[in-house]
Amino acid sequence: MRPAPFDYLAAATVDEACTELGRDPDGTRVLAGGQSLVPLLVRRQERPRRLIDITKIGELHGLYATERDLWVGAAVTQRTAEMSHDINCFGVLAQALPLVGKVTTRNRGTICGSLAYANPAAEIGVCLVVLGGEVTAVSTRGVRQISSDNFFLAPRRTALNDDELLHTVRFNRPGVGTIGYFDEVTIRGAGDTPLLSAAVTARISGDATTQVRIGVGGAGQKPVLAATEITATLAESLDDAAVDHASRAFAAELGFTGDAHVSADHRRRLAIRIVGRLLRRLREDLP
Amino acid sequence: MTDAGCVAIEVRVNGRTFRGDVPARMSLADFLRDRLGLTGTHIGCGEGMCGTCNVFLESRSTRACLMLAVQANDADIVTIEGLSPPGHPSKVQECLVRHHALQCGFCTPGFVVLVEELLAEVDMGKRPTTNQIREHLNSSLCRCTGYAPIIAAAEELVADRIAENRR
Repeated sequence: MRPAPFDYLAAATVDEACTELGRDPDGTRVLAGGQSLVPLLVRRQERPRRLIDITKIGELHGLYATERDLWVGAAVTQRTAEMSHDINCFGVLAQALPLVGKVTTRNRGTICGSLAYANPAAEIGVCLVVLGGEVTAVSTRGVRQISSDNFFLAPRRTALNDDELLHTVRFNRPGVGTIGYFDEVTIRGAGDTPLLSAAVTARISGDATTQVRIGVGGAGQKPVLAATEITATLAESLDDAAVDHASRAFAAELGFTGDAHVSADHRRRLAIRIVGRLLRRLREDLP
Repeated sequence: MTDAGCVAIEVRVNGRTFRGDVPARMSLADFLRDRLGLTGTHIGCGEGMCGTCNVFLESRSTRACLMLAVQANDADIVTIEGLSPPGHPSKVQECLVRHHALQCGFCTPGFVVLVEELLAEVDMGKRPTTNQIREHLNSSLCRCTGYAPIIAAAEELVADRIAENRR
């Protein structure tokens, strides 16, 4: 047995989970699929006093799409979402989910768990900032909504407090005529932790694009959206010069770090290439 | 919860029910191997990278090292031992052998689980492409035979299963 000892509690209701979480917020971790948490426990990078398993809580298994959005409960696995017809209309998310981890980790790992863990290169976080939406956090102090713009604070840090349970995430449904593309770069192919993840969406109206959104995340850089000054120029034209200018201007603002795999500068150059490639793919959809 | 962080669990493994008290920090892989003696589930990295410990949990492949035994409470588990009777290789195992898709065999139980999962998806009406088969199998690592024979065996099994289901 490799993890340090801890106590385990399978909560039956959200109230129970919140009460228990509130009792020792600092020493308690929420356990859903465990695909991010258990490796940290095994390496003893985390030594919580107690785990609260939330997967037995019925209300957290909700997965449904409405006319305006997609709701995903904290216990919904990535694989369940991937196989659901509900996500087909959420372009970038539908493209990204099959690339998350491996099929075996997607069978257990949850959408909300990935968001809470906030690995900056993770696919789902980039999808959340690009699609937009909000996270519902509950605690004994009440319920609050955290907008996707304010959810990620830094790599591996979110706006969730220690005593809060990430209850549900809501993704905005892309408007009519909106298309989107997701891509990532890995060293050993699908299943590897990406060096970076990127997504773009835009609305095609007539022969022009409007509402271009670009999101990128990778080591050192939490998932972020390109500023409107950068994307505004793309509404007028998606020619090579505009695409090149936008991807360079955006990448210049990104604060990647280097690691054992690649340097920070390499990540920045990858961001330029990948964002440029995604924008050119958008251009192909123009009539 | 009982003393010393132990939790009472009940699991069904390969069709049999087991009850016991396990420490909260015990992985499902350790539980299967040390408590139940099912050593066909191998432990490679112990942190989710390699896939040698893949087992079925509620009919879906799962890393037994990334799951706590207590999380498996009340669940149905099938290990490599449950996929064929002793001494009688399953179709999947026989096909892997025929393709020379194993050398040391350490990763093989994990791959057999993945291929069986793929075949179950075929039974549900999926028609995986070569690329999808490769993506499915990239969940496990093999360090000696190379992946080409493993993928060839999986492609043959998928094609056979599709033909069988048509009949």
